[in-house]
Amino acid sequence: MKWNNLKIKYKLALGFGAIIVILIIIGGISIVEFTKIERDSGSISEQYLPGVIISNKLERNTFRISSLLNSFALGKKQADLKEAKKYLLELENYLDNLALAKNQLEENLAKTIITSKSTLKEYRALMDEMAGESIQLESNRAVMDEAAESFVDNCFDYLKGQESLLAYQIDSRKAKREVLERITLANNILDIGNFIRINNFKNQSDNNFSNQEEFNNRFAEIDQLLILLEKTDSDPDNRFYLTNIRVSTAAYHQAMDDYINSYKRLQHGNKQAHETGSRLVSIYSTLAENSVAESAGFVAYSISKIKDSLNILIIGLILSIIFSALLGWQIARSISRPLKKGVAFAREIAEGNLEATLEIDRNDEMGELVETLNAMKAKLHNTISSIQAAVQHIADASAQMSQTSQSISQGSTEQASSAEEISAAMEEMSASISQNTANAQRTESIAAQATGKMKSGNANVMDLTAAIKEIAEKITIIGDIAYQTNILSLNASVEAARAGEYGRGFAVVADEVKKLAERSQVAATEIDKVSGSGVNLAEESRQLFITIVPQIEDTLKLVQEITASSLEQSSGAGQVNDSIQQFNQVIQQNAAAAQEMATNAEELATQAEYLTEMTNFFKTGNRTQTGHKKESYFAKKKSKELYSGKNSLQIKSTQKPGVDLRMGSDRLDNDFEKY
Amino acid sequence: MLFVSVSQIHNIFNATLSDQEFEKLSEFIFREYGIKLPKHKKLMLQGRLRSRLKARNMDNFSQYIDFLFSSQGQQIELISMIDVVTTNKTDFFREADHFDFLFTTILSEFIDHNSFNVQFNIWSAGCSTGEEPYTIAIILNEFKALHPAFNFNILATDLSSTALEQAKTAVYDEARVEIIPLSLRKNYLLKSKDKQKKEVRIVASLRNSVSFERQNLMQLDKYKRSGFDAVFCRNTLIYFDRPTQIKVVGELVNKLKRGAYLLIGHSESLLNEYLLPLERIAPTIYRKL
Repeated sequence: MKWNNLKIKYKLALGFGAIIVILIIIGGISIVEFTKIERDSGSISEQYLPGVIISNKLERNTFRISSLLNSFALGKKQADLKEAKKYLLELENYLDNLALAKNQLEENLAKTIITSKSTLKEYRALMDEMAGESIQLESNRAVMDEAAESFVDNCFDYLKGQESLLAYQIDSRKAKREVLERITLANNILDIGNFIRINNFKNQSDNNFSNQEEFNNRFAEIDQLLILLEKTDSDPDNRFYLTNIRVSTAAYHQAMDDYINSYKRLQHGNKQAHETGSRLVSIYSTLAENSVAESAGFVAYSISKIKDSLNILIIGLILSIIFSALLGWQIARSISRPLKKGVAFAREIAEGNLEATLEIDRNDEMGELVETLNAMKAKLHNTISSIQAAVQHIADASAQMSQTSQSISQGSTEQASSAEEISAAMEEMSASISQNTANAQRTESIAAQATGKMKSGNANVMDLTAAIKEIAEKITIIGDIAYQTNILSLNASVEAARAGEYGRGFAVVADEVKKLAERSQVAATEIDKVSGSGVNLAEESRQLFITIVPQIEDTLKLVQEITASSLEQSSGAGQVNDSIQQFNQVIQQNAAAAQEMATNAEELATQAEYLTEMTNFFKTGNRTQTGHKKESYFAKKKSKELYSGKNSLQIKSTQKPGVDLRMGSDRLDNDFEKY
Repeated sequence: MLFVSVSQIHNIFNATLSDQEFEKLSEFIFREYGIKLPKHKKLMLQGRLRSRLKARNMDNFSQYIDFLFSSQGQQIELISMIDVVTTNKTDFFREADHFDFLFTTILSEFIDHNSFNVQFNIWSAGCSTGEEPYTIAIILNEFKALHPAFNFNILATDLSSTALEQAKTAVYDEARVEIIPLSLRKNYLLKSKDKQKKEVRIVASLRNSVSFERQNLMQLDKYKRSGFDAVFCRNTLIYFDRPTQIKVVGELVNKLKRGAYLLIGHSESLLNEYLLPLERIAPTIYRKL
């Protein structure tokens, strides 16, 4: 199986497994080695370190005792001795305890402890000796102080005697030189004694009695001076005093010698004790050194073991680091390389490039991821392509819809104008019909009146015909009269010619009468003729009337029918008018709806454009064409419902009754009155 | 009174507009007044012009058209011709929500933003027979009753002189005012003493609050008045084609103050091709930016 095809989890498992195995090996070796080291260190602490510790403690205590003893020997302080004894007791107890547990101790250490115990005994004896000697020293010093005091007292006694003698001699003016000499000698003796005493104190404080010979010489000087005095003084009392001085000087000398000897013994004891202490110290220090040497050997061994383990650890660690680094690098590379490609691919997709490709030939999780990413891309590609296609359709459709709704809007505007026109025409027609109705009604009443009148007219015509006939009959009388008048006028004119000048006027009259008669004749003839035709006409008229009356009656009936149908028409027209009003309203609503639709379609088109822009963010190879790009002014603004009162005005009249009717009124107002 | 014989009436009603005559007329009307008369309106035009034939005692259209386009005809006939060409369809409180809006929004805004001595100028463009400006007058009077300091001026214009005449006369059929609430009718209307007539008249004070002018919307650019707080131009644009509508609305907007309102008919639209400084407040209600 190829490394590349190995699943990442197996790679990781292998890598970590290998590292774990290496760690186990190194760890195992280290554990074994360190266990050894630990054991060895344990033996050091168990065997050698106690030796070191014990011997150190013993040595230290011994040192402390030795120095305390030394200090006691020099300072003669009982406290130092007491403390030294305390430590010694402690040391003895410690050794006893150790001796009890000697089986648990290292052989050499046990042996040393046993041997050191006897030495310690010697040490204690020496210490006791020193204690006794120090007491002796103290008593010697007391004796010495007493002797010195008695020596001084005796000297003073003698001097007092000599001084009083001298004083007496001086008073008695018999002073003797020898007394003064004696006083001088006695003072010398006292000076030497004081010198010795001072030096003795000095030596005590210095702990140095090397000048003992000098003291002996001074005591000898005193003896010689006493001999000189004894020679010159024979007074028994003075002799007594001098003997006392001699005895006390000898006692003083003896006490000093004793003190110095005692002191020397003490120093000697101290020296011995010091030697013993030093021996003990050397024993313990040797023991400590041996223990330390043993320990050091073990430590060196342990260190070499630790070094070995460390080397193994270092080599193992270096190996495992190299191995881990190689493995890690390989694994990281096997993960990061395809991941980088995947990231680049994802970035491409994030930037909308759905035509990006990702090809990695692997069968591990990365391969699966790549496969899934590709599937995702393919799915996205398909979906976005479909969306783009759909958006294209939407864009087209909404553009189409926008246009359509605009043309609908335009159409409904035209419709509205037509409806208005129809409405107006209908109103006009309605008015015409009303007018017709009114006219027909008037015609009807006129026709009715006409029928009545026609009937009476018919009777009149018949009367007229009869009258005309009568006239025609009677007109011949006029003709006769005219004829006779004409004859009379002829006669008259004949008569007038006879009368001559006087009858000239009458002749004119007769002529005129003749003319009248002729005209009457003519008229009568015409009347006769006319009345003849008048009779005919009257007859015709009568005949006509007989036929007209039913016709007019028919007319009346027709006009009544016209009136009826006009009324029907009027109501029909009213209905049509109402319908048209409704129709008009519907058209207006439709028109308003079409406006809204047009606006919405425009909005939709704009949205479709946005959608197109958005989907065009993705590159799928089939870019959606942007639709018509119109600068929409209203589409940007949402319609605001500023007021909701869609119903008709509901305001109450607040106007006070009594509008000034006269104001600007004209004559026409006279026909109107208040509501 | 002119006597027209029956035969002449027959002739008048048999007279037809030829296509060329129709085109000549429709072209002229469109050019001069913006009113669009597509071919399907030939019968309508023919019908409407017949009344003019009758009035002019003519029995064919070629004669009438010759007369109309003669200098005499241009002086004495043109106005009558256009009177019959225009459609004067209107009602009181037509599209009532506009009047609600006037009362509740436009007027309230106006008194909020203006000091009391500023007059409210409103224009009813295409007022027809006066129902619209009188409705406006009622609303403004009602508002004034609540705000006594409020002052207003109503301009009402129309192309049709007969419609304007009727508007000035302000006499209406009773049926037309039924929509007006009774309380308002009592305050602003008179009824005819002759009960048979069934007519009402607008009270003089209301009549006098409206000034009527004859006006061709096609010549708005020459019209001097401007600074209106609101313009009602409703159901007038429907007779125009789109370019004319754009032109007219543009001119109307020029006459508005900033923040003033333009109200158009419910079947009219200002679609996006109007790149005008208008903000749509509600359907058919716009505010000048």
